[in-house]
Amino acid sequence: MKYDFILELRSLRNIFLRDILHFFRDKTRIIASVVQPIFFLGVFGVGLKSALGVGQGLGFDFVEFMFPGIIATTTLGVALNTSISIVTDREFGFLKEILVAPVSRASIVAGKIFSGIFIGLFQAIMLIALSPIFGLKIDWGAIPGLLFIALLLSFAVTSMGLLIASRMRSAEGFQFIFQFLFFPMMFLSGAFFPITDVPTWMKIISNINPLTYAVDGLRNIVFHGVPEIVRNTIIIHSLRFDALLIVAFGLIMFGLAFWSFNRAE
Amino acid sequence: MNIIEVNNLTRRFKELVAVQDVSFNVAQGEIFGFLGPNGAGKTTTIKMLATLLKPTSGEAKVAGFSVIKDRIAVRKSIGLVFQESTLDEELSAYENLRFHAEFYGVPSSTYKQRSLELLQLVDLAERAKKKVRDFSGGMKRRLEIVRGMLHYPKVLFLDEPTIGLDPQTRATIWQYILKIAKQQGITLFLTTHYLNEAEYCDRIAVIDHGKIVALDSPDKLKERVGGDIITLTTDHNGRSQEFISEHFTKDVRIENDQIVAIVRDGNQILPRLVRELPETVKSIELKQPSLDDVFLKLTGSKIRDEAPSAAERSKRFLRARGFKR
Ligand SMILES: Nc1ncnc2c1ncn2[C@@H]1O[C@H](COP(=O)(O)OP(=O)(O)OP(=O)(O)O)[C@@H](O)[C@H]1O
Ligand SMILES: [Mg+2]
Repeated sequence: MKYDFILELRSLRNIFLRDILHFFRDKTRIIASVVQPIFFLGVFGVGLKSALGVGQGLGFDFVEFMFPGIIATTTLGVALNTSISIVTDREFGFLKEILVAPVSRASIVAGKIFSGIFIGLFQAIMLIALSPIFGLKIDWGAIPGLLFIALLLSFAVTSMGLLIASRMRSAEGFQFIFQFLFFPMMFLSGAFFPITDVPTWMKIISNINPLTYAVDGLRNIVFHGVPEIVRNTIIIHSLRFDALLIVAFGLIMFGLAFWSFNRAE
Repeated sequence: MNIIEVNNLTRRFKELVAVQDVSFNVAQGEIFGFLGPNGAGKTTTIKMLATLLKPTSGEAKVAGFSVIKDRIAVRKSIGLVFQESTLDEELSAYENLRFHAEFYGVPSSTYKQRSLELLQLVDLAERAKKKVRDFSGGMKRRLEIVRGMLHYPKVLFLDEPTIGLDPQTRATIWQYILKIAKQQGITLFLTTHYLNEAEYCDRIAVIDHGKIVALDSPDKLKERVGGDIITLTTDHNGRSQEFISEHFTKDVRIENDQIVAIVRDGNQILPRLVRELPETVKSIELKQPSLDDVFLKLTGSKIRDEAPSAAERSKRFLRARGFKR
């Protein structure tokens, strides 16, 4: 098969731009992208802090501790939600228009992943921008690192979402799987409580959960200037290791999604 | 030159053989039609030719490219208007056209101009910037058809292009399709249930239960019926049938309390029949054979009526919305 490289890139951009257009036209999604960070930061950050009365004598700020988990979870949510667009496109017929176009399946999958990354990053930026309201002080210098991890996570999660979407016929079905994945991934990531005194199977899930590494990677960055002794109680791996594992997870998912799309008729 | 070559194409879905050992060629610039009842295998054939479905066996070439080995090249050469709507309803008419053009690599300077022309042609120019969601069924269909032509494909597949439209709109849409196809030298491959639409075709393949039962021009197909059709009622249909069978034609039967006789040169036979028949003629009608008669003759069953029944329509609607039966 001969590929027309320029046409492939153009189609990839086309698929991406259409998703972005849909995103910005959907007022509820725009509002949700602002409300969700406020909700998470308010409930999980400030609310939990005062309810538990923690934060004193730990050597770090509790909201700051929660913040990486909040970024990771919201990114997980929006990126997973972006891949659902392939299911709705199938339901409403437009997917056929894409499938009959002279575009390789790889470009379709890649285009969708770019939209997942874009919307995931958009969400992360919203969170960071709104964080001062809740008393968080994030270094300007930390922002590129945070966004980089958010980018890797969006890539990994959108790929995973696409793998699921490649075989789903209805958006309701996808929503069901979404719940089924979202909560275990969130709670078994170490975002809100440490995964130390749990059964082995939970540990295994936690270890293959890309969110675990995203949360750890984000904490690496947030607690950059904190003394080593305190850091060791919160952070498990090095930033490089975290990034590598998310990318590896993403690449495997991308490969499987591409394979699955190619096989489906 | 043949722009479509199909050799022994077969597609099975588990034990069901949807398309069985089909072979035919379509010449460049031809208007070629697939005529057949529900479930005959029309859409399945189109999907195989458009590389959306892999054949179980057999081979086909479109614009010189194999639909199995050279799928992207095939897709570049074709346009396809699906049986169900595939528009993006959240986008405007113009945006739908723009995205389509981008997918097919039409330069922006070209498609801007061309989109406006096409929208004008189908009376949608004023709605170019409006969301497709608010369009009527006929408007959506018109948009979908011009979208399929926007990149000037070598072959345009139209799977029941006028399904669900009123007769007037159907006629108008056909004018557009034929006009653009002629202008651009596009080969048309269409499927239809509507027998009168099949008459636009240069050649028609009659397909039933996945097999081609006849392939010819509409006129030649009609000739196969064996002449003109005279329908009459008399005082005593049974005796009249015998009389006609003895003196006029062996091809005579009684159907729904009417005598149906197929004769050559119906214009001359009709007055003689009235004169010579011993029974009193109560009513009599002469007509040229239609494709309906051809279909009846070839398959022994009638093709679905002009208008789909309510149940059929809702089934189609549900299917179009992505519900499985
Ligand atoms: N994906 C599929 N899986 C299983 N069976 C299928 C599939 N697609 C089509 N069929 C079956 O193949 C047969 C031919 O279907 P096809 O859609 O080609 O008919 P058609 O001639 O287009 O009919 P219609 O006029 O109703 O559109 C039908 O019996 C149909 O149920
Ligand atoms: Mg069909």
